[in-house]
Amino acid sequence: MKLVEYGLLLSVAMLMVACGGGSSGGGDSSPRPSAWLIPSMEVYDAGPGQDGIPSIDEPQYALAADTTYLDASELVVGVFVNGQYLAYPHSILAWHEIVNDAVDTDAFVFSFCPLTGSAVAWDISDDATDAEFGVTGLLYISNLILYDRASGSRWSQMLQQSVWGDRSGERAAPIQVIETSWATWQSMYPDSLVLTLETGFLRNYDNYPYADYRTSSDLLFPLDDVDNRLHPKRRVIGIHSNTAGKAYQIDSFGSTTQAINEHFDGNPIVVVGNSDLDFAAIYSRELDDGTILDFSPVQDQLPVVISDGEGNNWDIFGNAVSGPRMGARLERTTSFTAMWFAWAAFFENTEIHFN
Amino acid sequence: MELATPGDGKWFLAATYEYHDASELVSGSSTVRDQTGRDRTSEALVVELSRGLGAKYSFSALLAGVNHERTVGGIRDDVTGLGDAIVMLKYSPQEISLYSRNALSFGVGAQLPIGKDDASSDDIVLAEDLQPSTGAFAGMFWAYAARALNESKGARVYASATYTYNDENDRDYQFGHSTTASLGASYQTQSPWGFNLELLFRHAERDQRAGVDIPNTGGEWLDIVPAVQYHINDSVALRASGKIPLSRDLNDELQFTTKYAVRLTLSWVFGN
Repeated sequence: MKLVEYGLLLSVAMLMVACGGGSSGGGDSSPRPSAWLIPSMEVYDAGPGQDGIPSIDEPQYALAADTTYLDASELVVGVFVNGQYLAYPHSILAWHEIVNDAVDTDAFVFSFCPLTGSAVAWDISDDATDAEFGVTGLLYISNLILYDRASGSRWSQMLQQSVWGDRSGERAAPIQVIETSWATWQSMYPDSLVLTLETGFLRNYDNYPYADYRTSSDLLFPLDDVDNRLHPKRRVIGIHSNTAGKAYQIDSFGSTTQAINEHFDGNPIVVVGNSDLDFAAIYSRELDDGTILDFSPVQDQLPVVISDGEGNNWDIFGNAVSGPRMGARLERTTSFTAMWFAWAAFFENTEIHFN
Repeated sequence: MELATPGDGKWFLAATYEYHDASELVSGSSTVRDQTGRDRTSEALVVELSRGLGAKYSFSALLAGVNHERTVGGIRDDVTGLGDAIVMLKYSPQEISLYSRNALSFGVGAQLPIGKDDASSDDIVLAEDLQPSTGAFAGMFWAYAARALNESKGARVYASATYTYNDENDRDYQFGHSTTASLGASYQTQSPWGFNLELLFRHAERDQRAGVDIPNTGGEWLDIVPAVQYHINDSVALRASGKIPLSRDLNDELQFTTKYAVRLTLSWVFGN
């Protein structure tokens, strides 16, 4: 009997050895580069796996004026590409995070991270003809890490840079985006195109997939140092350089449009925003010819939001729509909208304007 | 949880292979057609060793080797390793016998995180549900009651319940505490064949990370578990069972969850 008992113990021990070695990793046999430009210990596998959150690769659009499925206060993010205004609702983006899109030959990838509230668009016209991006299922500072399907390289959305793979270190080519309420967008651009619910996927777009995350002070993924000067989920528009950052709370601009002429990191900028209309944008005040303009806010003439001393009117995308410089465009900055905790974690030493 | 309560001085050894397909995308209570081509499966080889300790007590230990596989968009993550171990002490004040048609057992146990919980891919630690081990201790409370319906004791009904209280692992992740309850009927024929049909209910609280609820976790599941058993001889039996979902209520959220599971067990009772 003792022999049997010892045999049993030995069998269990053998099972432990057989199973304890462990293995993991991709099933594809090609070797993968392994160096991350960001701390890999701070990158989380959120669970869905690569492309587990499906990007929209064949976006369908409807005219903004004809679109009825959006509530007035719902946030949308718009771009202006090759003469075409396009809007992407948060309610769809929360489920897909990436839209691979093009206007004629101008290909771009639009991305939105529901956990950091950040939306950016990158020009990928110069990439491979089949350039597309997907969701890795990985997060850095709770923020989306994309991958480009041509090279497999991974890109940090908020750093706007490849952080792993063959294109590691390469910077994206951002396109100006504007986040605002559906009511404001529709009134500004009734002839624009809006992403429809015909995404090719069956999802309940009426249902936000992250419970009370947008308003809760809790994060889903740990962050060592949360900057508590503002509520973690407060929406800010920020601008950053390599050494500094500045953030403006969207809900602190007030009920009339404000234009703030100032310098950031030595460069002249204008910050324009309106809390009631739920928009904000930051542009350079220095033109290509070296002229530095001072801007004044324009009320009730959307999409025109600022004017200058030369008599030019500029729209929310920074285009001169009337005046002697009509057709000119203000240079975009490093700015975009995000939740405060993420902005502060990505861009240390950020000053808060409306504190 | 199926655990044996062998009699005094007896040993119970069982090896179970389980295949679990968790590729079904469910939104709330409705199955959603998933166009991501996801394939999420788990396999486990579980060895249970139980021993009767006197007339009313028994002790069980379970060890599992686990393989998780997640394939989405052509990328496959494949993790194999030792899972959690479970030890449990059981008290059985009443057993079905010549003199009794009723059985009653209680157990208290612990889940021991002796396995692998840091599997990684490209230097990134994989999601918790892909780890063979939870990496956390858990306390378990188990109860079982049965009643024989006839003199031969071949027909029985039974109910069991298990409550699992999960601790946090060293990455601040805590699987949701869970309650499992089952109601079943079994029939052992005069031949070596036996049959079993069970309703299995499971409620799991949301997983948490650093104390914060994680969306798209937790919920309630109701499954039906048919099983067939063949006694090769008086001490060795082979049992096959399947788990088929009847309904799910996943907090009105989207989750990949059980499509089906199958299990094959070879067991051996021996000793005095």
